[in-house]
Amino acid sequence: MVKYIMKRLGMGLVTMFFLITITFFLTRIMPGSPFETENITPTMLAAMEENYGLDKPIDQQYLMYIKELLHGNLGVSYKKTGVSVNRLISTGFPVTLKLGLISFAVALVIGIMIGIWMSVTRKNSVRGGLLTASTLFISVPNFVLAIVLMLFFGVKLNWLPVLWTGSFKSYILPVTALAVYPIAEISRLVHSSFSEAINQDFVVMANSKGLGKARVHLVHILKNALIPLVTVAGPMIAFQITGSFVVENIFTIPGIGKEFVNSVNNRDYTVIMGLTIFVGGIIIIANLLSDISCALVDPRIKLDKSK
Amino acid sequence: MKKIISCILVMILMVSLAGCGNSNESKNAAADNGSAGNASSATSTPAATDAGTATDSTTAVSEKKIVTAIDEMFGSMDPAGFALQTWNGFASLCSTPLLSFDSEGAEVMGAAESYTVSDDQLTWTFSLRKDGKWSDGSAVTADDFINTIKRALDPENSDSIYAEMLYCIKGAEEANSGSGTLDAVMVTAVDEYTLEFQLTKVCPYFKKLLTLPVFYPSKTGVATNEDKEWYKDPAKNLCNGPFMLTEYIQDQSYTVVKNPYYFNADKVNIDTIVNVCISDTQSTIAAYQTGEINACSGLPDYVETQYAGSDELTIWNMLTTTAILPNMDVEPLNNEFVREALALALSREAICASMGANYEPSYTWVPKYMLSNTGSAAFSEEETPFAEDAARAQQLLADAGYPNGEGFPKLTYTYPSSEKDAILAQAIQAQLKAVLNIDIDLAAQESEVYNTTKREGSFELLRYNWTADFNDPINYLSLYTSNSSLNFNHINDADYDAAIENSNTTADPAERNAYLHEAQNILINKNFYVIPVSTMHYIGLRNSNITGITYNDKGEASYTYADIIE
Repeated sequence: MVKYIMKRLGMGLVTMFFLITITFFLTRIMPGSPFETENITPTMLAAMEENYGLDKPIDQQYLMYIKELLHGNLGVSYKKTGVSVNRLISTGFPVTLKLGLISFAVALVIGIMIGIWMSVTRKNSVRGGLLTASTLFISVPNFVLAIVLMLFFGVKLNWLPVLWTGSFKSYILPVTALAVYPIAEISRLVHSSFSEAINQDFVVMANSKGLGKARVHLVHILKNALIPLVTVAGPMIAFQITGSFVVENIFTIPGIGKEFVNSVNNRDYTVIMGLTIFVGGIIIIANLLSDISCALVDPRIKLDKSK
Repeated sequence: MKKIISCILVMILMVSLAGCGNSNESKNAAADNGSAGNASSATSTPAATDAGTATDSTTAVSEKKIVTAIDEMFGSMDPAGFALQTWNGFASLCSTPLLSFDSEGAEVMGAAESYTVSDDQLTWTFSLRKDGKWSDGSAVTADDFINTIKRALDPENSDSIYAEMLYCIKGAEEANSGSGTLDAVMVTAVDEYTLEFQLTKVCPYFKKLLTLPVFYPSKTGVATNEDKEWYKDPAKNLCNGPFMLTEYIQDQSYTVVKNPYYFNADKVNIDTIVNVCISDTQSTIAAYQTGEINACSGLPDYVETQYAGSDELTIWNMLTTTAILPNMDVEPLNNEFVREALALALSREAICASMGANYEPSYTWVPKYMLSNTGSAAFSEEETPFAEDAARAQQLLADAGYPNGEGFPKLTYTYPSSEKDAILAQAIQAQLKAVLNIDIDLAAQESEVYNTTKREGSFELLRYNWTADFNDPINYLSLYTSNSSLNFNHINDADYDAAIENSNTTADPAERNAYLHEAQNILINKNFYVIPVSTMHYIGLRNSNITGITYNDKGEASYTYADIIE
């Protein structure tokens, strides 16, 4: 186990190295300078590029960047005067993380509930309706949903605030917008694995022992039905907590999702790099944790198949 | 039956779990929000909560509060730094320049109570008002103006985008380029309340320049180039305007309150103005409609239709012109007939109709609403521009050797990839095909790439836009002298250079105006170096109970004497 984790971590580092290198050179190949604005003069532009070391050869810039990175310094934003990328992440990420975790928790609970409901109901109309709804919500992009929610609950009914304020109320709309897709995904997954498990021998055994329905459903079946969910949970959490540009933008949430797209548009090289490294790290770790927890839940899964 | 009960039990269990999870998370959320806010600025309260209480303000009878939407924070609040939109909005609330101009173009004395000009027009002396105070109660002195100017000219300060606007001051250019010293810059404090400028040559528009960021004061000893973030700290970002900064949260909001030390503080009625960053226009409109914000601008044109006739609708006629730049180094655009044919072939009414209600045709390079220096009329209305004429355009193209567009090379029109610019490009393409039977390729580029293309001159036809820095035609016309670094299509015309030079050396406003008209005439009528297409206005919304808004010579709204009526 320890050996496996070490090996995976090693692979993760190699992945990170490639990620950093490729992103670094891609950002530099991108045409356009971070300091380009409508009214800037060529002398000003040259002075700014010199100030940030962008006039140096690209290999030198790369070595400088790696050196700083090894000291944990992600550099300074070119567009936001005096703001370091570390600070950008440390202020933006907690917001995104919180929103992502809440929406994931909501999705998990509601998704599992709906999944079980779909499996145990004897009414075909209910099952059909839920399946249709989940298919529908998988295909609705979250920005469409976000705008619809904003216009209906915010502008039309005036129940909920449109602007993010950090209050409980202002979490409701963005969390809903972010949670709908994973709810649909999770409910379908739980439905299929739950339906499969419900007919297995151990369930028949449990039933015949005279155990209560609730106990059989919640303990015996659910435990087994959740294994496939654990495998997808890692990437799903990573997806949720790395932020959604559109949802953050619409609800003016000061998270990192918004920074990501802005930084690419603005050619803010250091911010692009910093966020890529940060999000890359999260995804690698989330996948690793997901694999390990799978092995813990299901002893049939061997992590180290080759050995 | 049993099954149903078990199902319900499952549900209840799940819901209760969900409930627990949520309430815990939101408690943490509330706690963390404060710390996140703190980390991004040196202030105490999370700004976001302020924004949310816009509707609550009506219950607090005494406080008059306005919440406005601003675009993302672009640039800084340092007048000697990267002073763009953010500075502009902030300065209109919190800073007072030496003097400014009202919507009619009349002078309004600000931090200065009077000024004198020497006979040779080279020495300008400003007497500062004795009751001019910073928001901490200290006096605004001549040194505070010099502080901004010298910080902007410091060659080490690579953020000062308006440094070149100071080159009219003796020694400024040398100091900025590193060949001179900052001490040799001839802006001096004669005494605490007397500021003197010595200019290199006559500068008829010097007063207009005083509304540029670099001529605003910044507190000596507090606003420094060493501290890149002084303006984010309300304790350091002292204000001499009607309002003062109390809170700054990077990329989220900033809040200003009434400045008790403002010389005209008795006339200031609004207590608090919160400026919230909202980058999505859809969200801006929604937040306005829910009452979370009270004023916003930069809205899409359908808002103008939706709110037509409403007193909430605000229209700001911007000083801006969009034009086509023909590259003078490219065949056949170096042929005057070809350029004139292109200019005359377009139907600007049709183009603007397809772009939206906030676009208007422009037949001059100096924007339609820019004031003249001699009368109350707009500068561009004082002259007769060219007239669109399809038949004449066809004739001109034939005269240039391309009858009915035959043999005309396929030119590329480069534009920044935005929705409106794409419509503009397609309209131009279609009209040139219909009228002149010539084909144009369209090349959309991301704005950063587009700006590089523009700078390098690697284009044939270019969509170009210029928005005024200050309200004087010279701001537009000086771009095209042969030695200008912003002369992107490489115009080199001795007559033009002479007209600009003459306008800059004469002391007589009427004569100067005539030279400026001569220059614009060469640019757009005689030689068609620039092909103007459109101008635009900004659409905004503002609660109708906000009164007393005033406007400056650029049409920008000011809340200085605004009030909220119940």
